[in-house]
Amino acid sequence: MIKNTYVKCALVLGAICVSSAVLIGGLNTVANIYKETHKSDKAPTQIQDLKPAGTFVEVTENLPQAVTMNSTKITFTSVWALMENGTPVGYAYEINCGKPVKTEVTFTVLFEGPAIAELPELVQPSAINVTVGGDSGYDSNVVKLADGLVAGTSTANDYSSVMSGGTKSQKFFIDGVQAARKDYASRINGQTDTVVQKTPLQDIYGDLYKAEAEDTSFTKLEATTDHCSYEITNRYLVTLTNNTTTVAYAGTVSFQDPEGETDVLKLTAAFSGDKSTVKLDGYKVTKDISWNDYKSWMDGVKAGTTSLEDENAVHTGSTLSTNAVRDMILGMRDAYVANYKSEVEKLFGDKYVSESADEFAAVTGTTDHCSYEITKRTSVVLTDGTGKAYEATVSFQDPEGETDVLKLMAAFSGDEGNAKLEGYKITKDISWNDYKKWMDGVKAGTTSMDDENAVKTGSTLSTNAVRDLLLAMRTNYYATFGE
Amino acid sequence: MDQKPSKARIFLDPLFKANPLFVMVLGTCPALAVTTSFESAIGMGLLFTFVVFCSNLIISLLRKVIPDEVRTPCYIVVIATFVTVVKILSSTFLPELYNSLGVFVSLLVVNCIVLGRAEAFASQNTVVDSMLDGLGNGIGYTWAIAAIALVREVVGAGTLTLGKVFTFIPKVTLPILSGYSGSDFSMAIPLFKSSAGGFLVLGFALAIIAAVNNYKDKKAKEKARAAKAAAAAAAKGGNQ
Repeated sequence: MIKNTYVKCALVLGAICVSSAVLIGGLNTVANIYKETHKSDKAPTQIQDLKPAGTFVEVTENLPQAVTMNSTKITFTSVWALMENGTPVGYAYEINCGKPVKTEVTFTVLFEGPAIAELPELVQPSAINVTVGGDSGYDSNVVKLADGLVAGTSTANDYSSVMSGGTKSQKFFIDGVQAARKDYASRINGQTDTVVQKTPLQDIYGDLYKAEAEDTSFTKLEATTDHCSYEITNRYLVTLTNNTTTVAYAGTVSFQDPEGETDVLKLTAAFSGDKSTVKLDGYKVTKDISWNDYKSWMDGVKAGTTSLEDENAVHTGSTLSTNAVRDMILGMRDAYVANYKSEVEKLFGDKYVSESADEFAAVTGTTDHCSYEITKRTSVVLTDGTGKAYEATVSFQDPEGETDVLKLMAAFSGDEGNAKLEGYKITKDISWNDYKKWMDGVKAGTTSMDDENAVKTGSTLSTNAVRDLLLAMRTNYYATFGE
Repeated sequence: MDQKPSKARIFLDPLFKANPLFVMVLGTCPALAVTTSFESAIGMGLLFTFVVFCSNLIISLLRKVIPDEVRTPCYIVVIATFVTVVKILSSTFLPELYNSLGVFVSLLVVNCIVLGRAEAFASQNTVVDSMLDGLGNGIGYTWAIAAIALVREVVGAGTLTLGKVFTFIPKVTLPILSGYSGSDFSMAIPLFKSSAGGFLVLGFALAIIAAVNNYKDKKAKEKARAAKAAAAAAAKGGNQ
């Protein structure tokens, strides 16, 4: 039994505090998991309530600016497109009309159907949800006015429908409706850009973007650092218009902000380059926070003026968020490097150990079927020997008399006189591409490269051209044994 | 020597006879702030009940362990823990309730009823008695603020709205003093939704309860006086 009062007091109070922290920490974790697993794709309640069965998509570009009306300044908190078959058939607005006296007037309004851009006064709202009707005690008159506008018994063209009691709130509300319907009349007629739903990767790469595919084999990565806890949830393979492939990761990072609250930030970041030259191509924040000076640090990393490794570069106004984001970006970068495989490595698969580019003078040739140029050669160390990878271009006349150009990589291993095609990759394809069946046969060992009669596919011209190229590559491969 | 109250009295007294709001006039700040809406008041009452019940339970359990010198910090930590728990639970499962109550959920930490019951009751009584006391005070406070909110919402807005805070029930607005479709009829008095209206309703409630208590005291005194007179008369007759 402890007899010293001070020790006893400290122990009891400490034990209660620790128990409290454990309980709250555990509960908070469970609550966060619950929130994450019960995330709704629906619009916020105040918007969805306007049309419960409707599909709303938030408009993120060309948002209306705050506008000063007769009695107040109207701010558009958010704009949502009501979608049907992929096109907007209406718009919902979340509006803040400011404070008539002490309490703000805020409401959401939905407009549907066609409108004449020059005559917004003809636009009638199909639903209004007054979220805050101004000062308590007079707010019910704003609700009545809203009901009247929807029913068509009141008008928002002027202040003639304003009832006694809370007149200022009602005037603010009418200003809000007028501002919203004016924007609607323009927006529904395409006078501002309609909703274009872009993926974060489209935003990152812009015109360079061609396609993306999620890597479904990716397993979520979680970590806790001194600054944050983060999880990298998705991995995407991005194909660009120049046919290069980059990799992007999406993740969520949580950290304590200066006010002691837990801030949650979501972003997607895209990387390119090989293991030693990996660079951040860009990023898209999908859930932002108010302490967002971290973006200036990210922009520096993207531009190459700030080193991702330099922890002293985190000297922005939002050190906590920047440190947290840096930790997650480092996690993404490490995942990129760990998963990175060069094109040559992909050709050789599990046998690959290392590679080095050869000093190589381009080899050109012309045959009965084509002309080709072998531009690059790479020496590869394999688990069971060595190999060579080639890059080349081959041109030939297609059945329509056009010149087709095909670019490919091919990998060889094996001894002199006994070469094996380990793999190939087409970097620029053509429409007559049955030659791939022949190449697959060579790769599998079921078709001999030397057997010209094996070229019996539907694309004889292209297959003969590719065969001539591969034979030239193999010849060069055999020649390396004598070097 | 004081006789220990029965378990039924411990539970029932805070409901009416020693109601924390109407009789003890405690916890008036949230009682005025969150009673503009009936649903918000019910929600506040439920959260309050959870906090006072759980803190009474834990403090009673630890009453022999907690040194007297640090009892107040210990009580505050226990209460703050349960307030944080209700904050997390309400923001996760009932975000509309959490948003409607705003800062008043956090302010439960310094609610004088919760701390008062911990200090005056839970620290000196058994676990079961403390639980009953917490439950009684919670329910007593809940019905009191719900009654004020009912009056304020119905008289102030003319209607009673349900389903706005407790989103798991269908949203419905009941027309009572106004809000009848196709009619401009309204007997609503907006003043009752304002802060002044809150004071008025609470004041009327306290006045009515004081009048009832005065009437009961008067009756009890008259009864006692009559009994005393009857006893004196009986004694006088005996002497003759």
